[in-house]
Amino acid sequence: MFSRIIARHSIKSAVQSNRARSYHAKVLDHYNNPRNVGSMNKNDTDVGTGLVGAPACGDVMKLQIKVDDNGVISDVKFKTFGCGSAIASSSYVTELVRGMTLEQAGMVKNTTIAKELSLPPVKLHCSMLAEDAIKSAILDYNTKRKTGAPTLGKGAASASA
Amino acid sequence: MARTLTLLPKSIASYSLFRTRNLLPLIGVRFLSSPAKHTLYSYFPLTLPRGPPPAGLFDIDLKALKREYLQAQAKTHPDRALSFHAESQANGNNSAYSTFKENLEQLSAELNKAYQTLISPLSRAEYILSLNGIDTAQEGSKLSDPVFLGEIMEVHEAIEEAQNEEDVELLRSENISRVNETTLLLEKAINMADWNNAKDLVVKLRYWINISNVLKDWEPGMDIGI
Repeated sequence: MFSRIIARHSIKSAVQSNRARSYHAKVLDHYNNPRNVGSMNKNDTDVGTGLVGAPACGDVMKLQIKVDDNGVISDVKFKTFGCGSAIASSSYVTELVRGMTLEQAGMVKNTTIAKELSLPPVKLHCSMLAEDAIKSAILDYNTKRKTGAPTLGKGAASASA
Repeated sequence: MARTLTLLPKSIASYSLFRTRNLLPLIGVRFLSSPAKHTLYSYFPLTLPRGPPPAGLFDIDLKALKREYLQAQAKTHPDRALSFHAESQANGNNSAYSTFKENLEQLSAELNKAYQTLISPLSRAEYILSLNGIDTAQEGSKLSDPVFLGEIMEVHEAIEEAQNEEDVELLRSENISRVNETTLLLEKAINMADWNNAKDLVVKLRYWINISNVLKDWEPGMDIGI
């Protein structure tokens, strides 16, 4: 474990020494091949939408989850306008929470995201934004469930939409 | 996308004054008895005699500011400052010329920082708020105004869908109106010392200016995000 962290650091510093400002390989991978980009219908009752912003840099992130009858996240989509780290953080989170229960997804911490992507301290807020996005999507879904259709399932979703 | 935050810590002006206060007369700046009263506005006593709002106004005469800035910068040139050094030595200040030159450079950097901060309404507003203890770019602060964020999302999507220069030109003019409108509201809020409202408007202005920058760099088929 320890050696892996050291290895990551050395890659990072090697990359950074080549260019004044550059991203870690994993950030670049998510940036160049973002996973699960797109939108769902925010009016569907089985969809929860999280829309959050980082006032410090003017980034905006939308993350949507589709939840099945068992309370498991079956699909995730995102759209982010911001720096590479913000895009990578949201892209990674979509992969992370797919298949999780809402409870599990609600416990995802920004530190997990930051560690996976080796975000430097100045970019930690990008991982916080991704954590907020998933939390706000879950909240939106739960709020909809309470106030929305009384029965679960796709039929109820389309009836109330 | 590289973003420079121009927010300054509250103490920056008074902090560096320890090194350069003896040089202030060189650029026509009177040292105020209390360093806390020294702000970036103090470097331009002709253009901004009343200091930051609410004493002075938010809107400033940029032409006059530029003129005063260039004149002050010229005075910090080591060749022109030689006589000042000789004079202060005659008055018993026997600091070495090398130290003097270093402090001149420091003063020049301060002038530059002050000017750059004050010319743009966004960084000027950030600075004024920081003087009042409000950090508008706090790490990890959140924005969860869904209506505003939804609008930002839509504008970004419209830019994404833009096909040609004509589409973008329309988006540009729409965004210029938003920037101007927000700046006017910000000016009003700051002149009234309504800091809470000003803080929200600074964040909004930052978002619109980000969009301006994206639109400025637009090229057909460019990747502007996801």
